[in-house]
Amino acid sequence: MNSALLAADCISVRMGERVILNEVSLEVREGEFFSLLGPSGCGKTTLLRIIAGFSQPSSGRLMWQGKDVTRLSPQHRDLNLVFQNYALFPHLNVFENVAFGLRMQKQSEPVVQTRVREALALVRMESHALRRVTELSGGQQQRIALARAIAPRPRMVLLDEPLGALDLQLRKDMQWELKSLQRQLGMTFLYVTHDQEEAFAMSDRIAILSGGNIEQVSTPEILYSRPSTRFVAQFIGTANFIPVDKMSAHKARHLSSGLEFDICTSDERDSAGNFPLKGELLFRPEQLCLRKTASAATCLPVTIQMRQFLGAVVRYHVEIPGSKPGLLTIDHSSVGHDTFAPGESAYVELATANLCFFKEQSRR
Amino acid sequence: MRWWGMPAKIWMSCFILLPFLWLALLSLQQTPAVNAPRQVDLHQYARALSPPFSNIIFNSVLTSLLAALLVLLIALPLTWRISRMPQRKRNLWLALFTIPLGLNFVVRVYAWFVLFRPEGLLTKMLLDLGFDVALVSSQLGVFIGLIYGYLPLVFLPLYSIFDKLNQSQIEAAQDLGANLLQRWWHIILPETRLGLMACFLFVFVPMLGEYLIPRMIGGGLVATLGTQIESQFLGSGRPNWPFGAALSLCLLAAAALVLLVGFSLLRWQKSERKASWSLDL
Repeated sequence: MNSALLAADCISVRMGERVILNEVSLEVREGEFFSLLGPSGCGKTTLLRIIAGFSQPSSGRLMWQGKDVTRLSPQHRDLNLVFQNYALFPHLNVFENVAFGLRMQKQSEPVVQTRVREALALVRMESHALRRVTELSGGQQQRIALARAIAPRPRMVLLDEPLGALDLQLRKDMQWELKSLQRQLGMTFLYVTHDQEEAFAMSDRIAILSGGNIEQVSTPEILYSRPSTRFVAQFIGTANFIPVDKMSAHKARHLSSGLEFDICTSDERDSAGNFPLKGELLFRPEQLCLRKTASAATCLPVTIQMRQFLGAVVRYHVEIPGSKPGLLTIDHSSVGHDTFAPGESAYVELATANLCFFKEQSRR
Repeated sequence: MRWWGMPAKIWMSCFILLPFLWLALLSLQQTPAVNAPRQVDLHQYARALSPPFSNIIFNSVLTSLLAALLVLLIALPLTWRISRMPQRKRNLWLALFTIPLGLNFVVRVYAWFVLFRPEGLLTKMLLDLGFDVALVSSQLGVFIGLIYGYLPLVFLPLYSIFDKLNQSQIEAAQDLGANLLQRWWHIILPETRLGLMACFLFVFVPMLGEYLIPRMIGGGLVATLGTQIESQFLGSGRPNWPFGAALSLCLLAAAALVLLVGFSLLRWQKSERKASWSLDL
């Protein structure tokens, strides 16, 4: 609790009838790389703008080290924002762009000089100090925007999809750089993105937003293996759902085959409810394995629909005959496995323990 | 074959270059009489640049400069506000500010005259408040008239300048700790300086030659460069075309001078960018 640098306390934003954010509460701890992840329109940018001070919530409070800063204007907040479109000042050169925040702090000239050089060195742009920002490439502008945000040494840096405009390779490189930069500086980074891979590659913790609600706040590992809602399960990675009946608090059964599974988590709160309870089990593609022959007691007969060679893995899309959702996605390592051709019959071996159960959707 | 440039070239030569040359030649004539011996000298310029005309030129330049600056000063925050409004509100406000342009200029100026008359509403109200000011036939009245007349003209250009300015740049400045004044001084003004200069000239130059407002509100008692030129050409007294031509060229020179000073200021500001930081705001 005491290490929470920033806390959103029941923040809601309503625009007429529309609810943009619905009682969002979360905590960002000092020194962590925290991501707000969600599909477009989930309210993550709205939340970011509230944190930066450019918008006000309809209700709720924003706490900064225990103090209410909801109404504090942006220039007085100890955090800097890296804009999606960089928002560099075109009439100033690289040096003056990075120096802007320091000048506003009325730092002495020697301090400005050293801090700007430091910041430029961190993003490896020292040699560009006197260039015009309009002469720089997208990736370079991105670095300058980052340097501009960290030069005044704020407690927190907000990043609004800063890698969105870069091409794939550059984006991957920048992910490493951002992460190592954050480690080096020990600064708190709050990163907004719709890209799950990006969030996973860098974050210590991630908040998943959907339709203005926080779905789950956790580490990437837990989000992937223990998603608390069906939305999170689907949004993160690839999800296969197999309909089952929950027989007790920790057991589920696939009815047509009679296979039994151990459940470790479930999204329903009343575990003492009436059994059997209809629902679905989540299987990640690597929790499934294709076999030529039915070997264990955990096999289902399937038909191969499609095979995709992706390099390190071979991805199969298979159909369970006579089953409702039908298609499963299965990943095999590309070495040391049998290969299957489309149309072929096979058996899929299912993991039996540590599975997540989701109650049948009584559509919200 | 750049034939499509021809219409513009023909237009320029027929309606700008030739009249200008004719005016220049005319200004070198010593006397207004058409059949007088054609002596070429700078007599008319000498007259224009000595009192009382030199004072009139100086006053006109000063008044126009001040009025143009005030027009910008009034229009800047207003258009800024409008350009940051949501689309629907924006259109309404823009319409409100540009509708007056549809009304005849003379009618609008005459409306001020009606308000300014000693028995006019405004003058009476001011008198009731304890201010005994003459607005008709006074420099002040002309000044107000100039500002009013030219204010709507800068709204649209200023709006389009601000509309193009990226909001996130201003937010970035604020995020980095810049207050309202600092945002204007360090971001908005430097980034729009060329456009602002153009807007300034766009009102300053016509103001310098303005004769309708001084004529109607000033009642012929406030002498400006514009009214002097007009009376030299069209006056009921003794028209003096060569002298009028010389005054016109003086007007052009004054405008060119202000333009030159303005743009060298811009260049200076650009090279002295770093110095501008020391300005404590």
